[in-house]
Amino acid sequence: MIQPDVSYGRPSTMEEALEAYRLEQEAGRKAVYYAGGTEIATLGRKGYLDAQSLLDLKGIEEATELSLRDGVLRIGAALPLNVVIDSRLFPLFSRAASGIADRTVRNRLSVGGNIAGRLPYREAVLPFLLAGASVVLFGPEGLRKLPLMDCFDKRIALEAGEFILRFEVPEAALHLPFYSLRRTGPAKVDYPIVHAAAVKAHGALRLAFSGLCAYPFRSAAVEEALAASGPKEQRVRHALTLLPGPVREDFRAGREYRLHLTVLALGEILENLEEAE
Amino acid sequence: MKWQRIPEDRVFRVNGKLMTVRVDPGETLLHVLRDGLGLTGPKAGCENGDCGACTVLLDGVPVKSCMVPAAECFDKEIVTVEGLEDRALTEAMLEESAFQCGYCASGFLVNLHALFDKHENPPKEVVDEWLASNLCRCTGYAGIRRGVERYMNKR
Repeated sequence: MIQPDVSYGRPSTMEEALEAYRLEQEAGRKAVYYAGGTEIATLGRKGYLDAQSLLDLKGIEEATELSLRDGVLRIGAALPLNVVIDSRLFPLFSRAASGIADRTVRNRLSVGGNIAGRLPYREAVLPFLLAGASVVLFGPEGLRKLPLMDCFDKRIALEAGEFILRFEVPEAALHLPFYSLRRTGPAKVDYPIVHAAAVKAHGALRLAFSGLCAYPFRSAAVEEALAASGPKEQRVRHALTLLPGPVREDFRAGREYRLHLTVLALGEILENLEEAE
Repeated sequence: MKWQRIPEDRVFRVNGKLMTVRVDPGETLLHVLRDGLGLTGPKAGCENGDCGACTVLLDGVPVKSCMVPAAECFDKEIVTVEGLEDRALTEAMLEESAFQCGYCASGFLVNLHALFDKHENPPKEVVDEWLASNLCRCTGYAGIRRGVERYMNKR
């Protein structure tokens, strides 16, 4: 049982989804949007699901689109991770997202759910942050298309009732040279101790991290520090003083070990991408 | 859009047959299959998406049925271990004594069935990736791996 006394609805348009959400709120029932359902099942089992109504977004055509046209790759937020991974349309995404959960779970876990969910890792956002992607949202204010970097600070900023429709990646960013390292504890299927992903664009390195701090991030300060002149080791040490928040410390790894793995990861990234065209 | 707010009779297509079952909108596919339809092949293990003992095929794709709301499955083709027609994989597993207590067996078999449907001759890293979705608490992984290799050699 996910939760007793819960209602299920499957809208077929984005307007219908929003209207259903609004009516449920008016009736005093809290609705949540979902597509994969992996997180709501986990939360429900523990009694943490704070909702009475489930709105399944998989019936909305715009949320399940996967297409490359007019120089833009459109990735519907309701698509399972594996659909995007296996398409190989966005190689960095295929690499970075293939460590999330396990293969069978990724057959359900949606792109939007991973990024907007409550778990702190949200690794699927890393390739979008690095590729300069936009996000298309739909909510009470209608459609909004925003650069992801402008609306992602620790997590994606959504208005009440708003949901992610899709991500849009410029075709030119799909095949940038990239490097992605994901380090876990002894079990390969686990949350990352550190996941560092990088691309080289217009001669400059872009880097994004998950697991290192309490939230995923891409930091201009870190990128600038790594791009400065000087010995590699010195640049890496300096960059790590500019993280946007404290280094995570939990039962998976202490602060020092996380930093150690990050130093190694950055060394590998610089070695592999600094000379890349 | 019609809400499902209370338990309703729904028609599911399971293992090629249409079956009517009462579905609570908050119930998982796993428990509808086991308690509603008497298909006890999918096992309730962790019920948290970790162990894979509850794996079934949903439109040919392996999913952990403990994480799937049953209310969304009425228009899908569901296959449980009871519905797998190809016995060769099971035979290969038996020949290698791959399973000990057997609780994880149905999940592994359904997942591997999907693997070999998608990949005729999967390389080791692909087999590893798929096998990592299922846990065996008896730690019989070496036997399961031998069973997979025996099956691949016989195909």
